[in-house]
Amino acid sequence: MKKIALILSLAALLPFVSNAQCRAFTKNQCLPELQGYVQNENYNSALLVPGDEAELLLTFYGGKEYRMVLCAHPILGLVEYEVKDTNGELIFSGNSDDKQIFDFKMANTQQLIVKIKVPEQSSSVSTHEGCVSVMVGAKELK
Amino acid sequence: MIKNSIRLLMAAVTCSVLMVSCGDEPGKGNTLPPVNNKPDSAEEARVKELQKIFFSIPSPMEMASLIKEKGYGFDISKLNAVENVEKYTGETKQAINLGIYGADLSYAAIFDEKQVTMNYFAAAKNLAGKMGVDGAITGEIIERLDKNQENRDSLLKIVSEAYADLNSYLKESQRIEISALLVAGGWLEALHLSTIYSQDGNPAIRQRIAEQKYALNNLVDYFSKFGDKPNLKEMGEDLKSLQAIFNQSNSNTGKTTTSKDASGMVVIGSSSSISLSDETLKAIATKTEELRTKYTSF
Repeated sequence: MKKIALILSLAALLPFVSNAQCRAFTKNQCLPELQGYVQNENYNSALLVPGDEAELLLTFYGGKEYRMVLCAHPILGLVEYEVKDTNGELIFSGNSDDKQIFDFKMANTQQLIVKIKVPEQSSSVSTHEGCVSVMVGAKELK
Repeated sequence: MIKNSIRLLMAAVTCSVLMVSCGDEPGKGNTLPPVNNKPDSAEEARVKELQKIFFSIPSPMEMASLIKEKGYGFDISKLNAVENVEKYTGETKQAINLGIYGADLSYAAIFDEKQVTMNYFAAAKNLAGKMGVDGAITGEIIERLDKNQENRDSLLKIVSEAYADLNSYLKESQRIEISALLVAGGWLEALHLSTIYSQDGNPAIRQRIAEQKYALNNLVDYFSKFGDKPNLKEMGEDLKSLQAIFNQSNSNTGKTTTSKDASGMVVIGSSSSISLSDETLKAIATKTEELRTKYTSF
């Protein structure tokens, strides 16, 4: 009985464990891509499931150079992302397989929207959560 | 049947714990998340939904960098004194001031004030310790900071990484409200510093303050997602009062253009504009000072 209680209490830690993995995944798999850039201090990572869509509104300052990196755990399949302006005009699109990095300069300050789409699951097996991160870095300042 | 379930559960738990260990080692391979079939309570479901929200505003470091770029000098008297760190009690005020110290830390690092940077880092770690969230500020970060004191670029990277780490730690340890307060505190302090430096009429700093309308709208929207959480309500209301002043700015939304520079890099431009009248700028500075005084007092 004690054994069951112990196991159940350990099982209660599972969501926290998943989240901690997302943090480690972001640090290990995505952060190295921002080499040469200073990372934004916000944390843009979340555990998503197949079929999830997420949106992120970002402000970029004029006269600066940025790198945006999309990282998605392979368990989610081909995660697509689009960068649009606030009028919905497409500026950039890619997926977690090919174009994960978007380097750009801002002529003037503007808000951009990043849309993330996790593909639907093909089979009916248990739904898996996977980590998706959008990392932004600004060029180091001299 | 029970035995089989126990075995399955034990296997899942063991795998999960092992995978976290592997994931925490820098440079190691992917970690696969476990299947999570645990039914959520209403609170767990609420937190989980909040954890799915992607939220970002420009970091205080980006504001501080403009101040240096425009040739202004460092002035420690403009910061929240490190000695105050011991006086903050209550998680809400501690979280906001952790953000404020983070912005001050960024400001010191931008100006390459090594000793001040170290002092503010220690103050932030101390405050994080009092809140029980210093687990994010690891010995490895402190060691890197010690080793790289003489290298400004490294210092900037370590400081921004440390705060990003702290935010991720808070978000993932079910303390997402604390993360929101920390971000709001940092933004408020960066705005406070900018308004002080705007007093001599520097047009670039004035423009950067006007552009904070975007970040503020984002913040207000983010806070609204937490509902009536008591510890966020006051800051949420204060941000709204500041937003009402920012709404007096003159702005128009134009068309976005994209082109490529000589190196082939994409350049994004826009005919959108935003500006502040003297009266609105003054009102923003006054309100920011009032809020900053309110949250840094003890």
